[in-house]
Amino acid sequence: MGEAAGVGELSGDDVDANFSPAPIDVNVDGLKDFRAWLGRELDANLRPGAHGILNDHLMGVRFGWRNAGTHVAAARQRYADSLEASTANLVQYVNASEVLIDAILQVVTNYRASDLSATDSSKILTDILGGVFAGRNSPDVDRSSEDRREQHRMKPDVSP
Amino acid sequence: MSDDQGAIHYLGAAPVGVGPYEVWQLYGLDELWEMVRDEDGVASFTQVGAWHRMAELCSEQADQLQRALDQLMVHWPARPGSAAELFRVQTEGLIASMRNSAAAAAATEQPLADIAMALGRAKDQVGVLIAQKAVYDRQERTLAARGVYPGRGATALLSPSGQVPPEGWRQQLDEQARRIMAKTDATVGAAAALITPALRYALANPKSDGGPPVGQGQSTNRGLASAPPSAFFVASDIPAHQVAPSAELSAGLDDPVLSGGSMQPGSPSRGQEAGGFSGGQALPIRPAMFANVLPPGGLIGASGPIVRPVASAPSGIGQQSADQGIRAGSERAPMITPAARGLGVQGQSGRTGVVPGGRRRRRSDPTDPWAVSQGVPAILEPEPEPLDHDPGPGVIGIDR
Repeated sequence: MGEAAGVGELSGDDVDANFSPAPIDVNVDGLKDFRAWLGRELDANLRPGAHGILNDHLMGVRFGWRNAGTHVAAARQRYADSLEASTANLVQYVNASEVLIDAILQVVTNYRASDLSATDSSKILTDILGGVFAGRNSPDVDRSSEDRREQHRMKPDVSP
Repeated sequence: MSDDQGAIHYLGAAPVGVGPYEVWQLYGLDELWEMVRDEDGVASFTQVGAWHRMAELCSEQADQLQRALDQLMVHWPARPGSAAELFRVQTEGLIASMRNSAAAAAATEQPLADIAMALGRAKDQVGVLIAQKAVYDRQERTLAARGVYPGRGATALLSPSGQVPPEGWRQQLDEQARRIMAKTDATVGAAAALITPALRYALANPKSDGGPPVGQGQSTNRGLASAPPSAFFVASDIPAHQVAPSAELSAGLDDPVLSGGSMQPGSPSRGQEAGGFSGGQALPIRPAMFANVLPPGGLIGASGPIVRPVASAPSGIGQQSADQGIRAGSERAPMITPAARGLGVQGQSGRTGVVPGGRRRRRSDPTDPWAVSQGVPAILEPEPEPLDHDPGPGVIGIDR
């Protein structure tokens, strides 16, 4: 399992979040660290782990195929439901991690590009982030998962 | 539900006057053996390991992600209505779903092992009865074949008492098999009650109706419908509407191996059309994505349906699955067991496959049981024949 130690280490002059008046205090390096960690975790653990599990789960229900028992039939149904939900979730976890990586990239890019002291900067970022989570309409996040993974592999830190 | 109500779905509505106890009476030893003979448990125990790994993976990922998120929120304060809060909500939804999946996987592990063991035990016990039946059959045939004194109508010799099968042995064996099946059915039902499917997860869409993020205790199917295929899924040839299995979509699916449906013993078992599987209840769950996992050695982005080799279970269940999947017109075949687990990957009969030792298996003809292996070139070979012949000295008639 990867370590989270690289994620945004606190420095001595970090300000307590409770007393920060505006999102100006965002530590962009912390966002970049989070994004890099998430990418490493995805490639090193989540994706290969999920792949191995799916290989086994996709065999489907392999007991009681011919059994006439009512309870056995119900067990098959219940187990099939469980397999289906779990395999779908594993796929979604990988997808969600990729979306989070994209979202962080969007945030970092816009934090760099915009005037963070502007009053509506938070709304702009929220809209951008909402677009990322909503889906797949933005050309920046509408790339295929394979493209995202390949880009991450080739250029692990392209954020500004 | 009592133990004896099993199999009632198997015949559809029970005949009038047939109570729960009599339902199992409708089957004889041979039919009951057909129900359990393929229960080797190999695939199920492989999945037990997969559930264990999934519980560990999801739990560890959730812990790590939570830790990282906590640190991130220090640098990116999540104030109400901010992008940071939106990000935090999404990530916490993911974490909650991972924890839910970990719990579901951990809860499924032991029941699945119990089910596989119960069915395997039933196979062993009914198998003993089958062997006993063969002995009694042989004894009965021997008795029937005794010589008869000509003209007297009496048998030649009485068999020793040990060679005479007991009276009513067929009924006794049938009854024992029925009790085994009823008990097994109850055991499986009790174990299956502990299986709890995980809640479906999907990223919440903040631009939609504003519902709460899923993965925090809400079950949904939206994720599969809206998300693009994952990097390790090849679904380019699957229409989008098939990516989300729905009740209507899956109701007509006829693959009992993946769907959890049951097959009727005594019915045309292998490679029959879908109509052959008249298991009474349609057990319709089969995610369309089951067909879309890239097989070992497959090409990402390859077009056309994927038909993967099938692991052949020793007792034939894998073979049945393969035959059924292929002959029924399905484009899909069950997933193979990875060779990395030491089980090996073996294709269907007549195909070259990989056996546990990693050696290539030679192509063989399954229809010829008498085929022998072709030998390799001999190490010791005779010298080549001389071109001329010399009989040697002193041979009469040859003038040297």
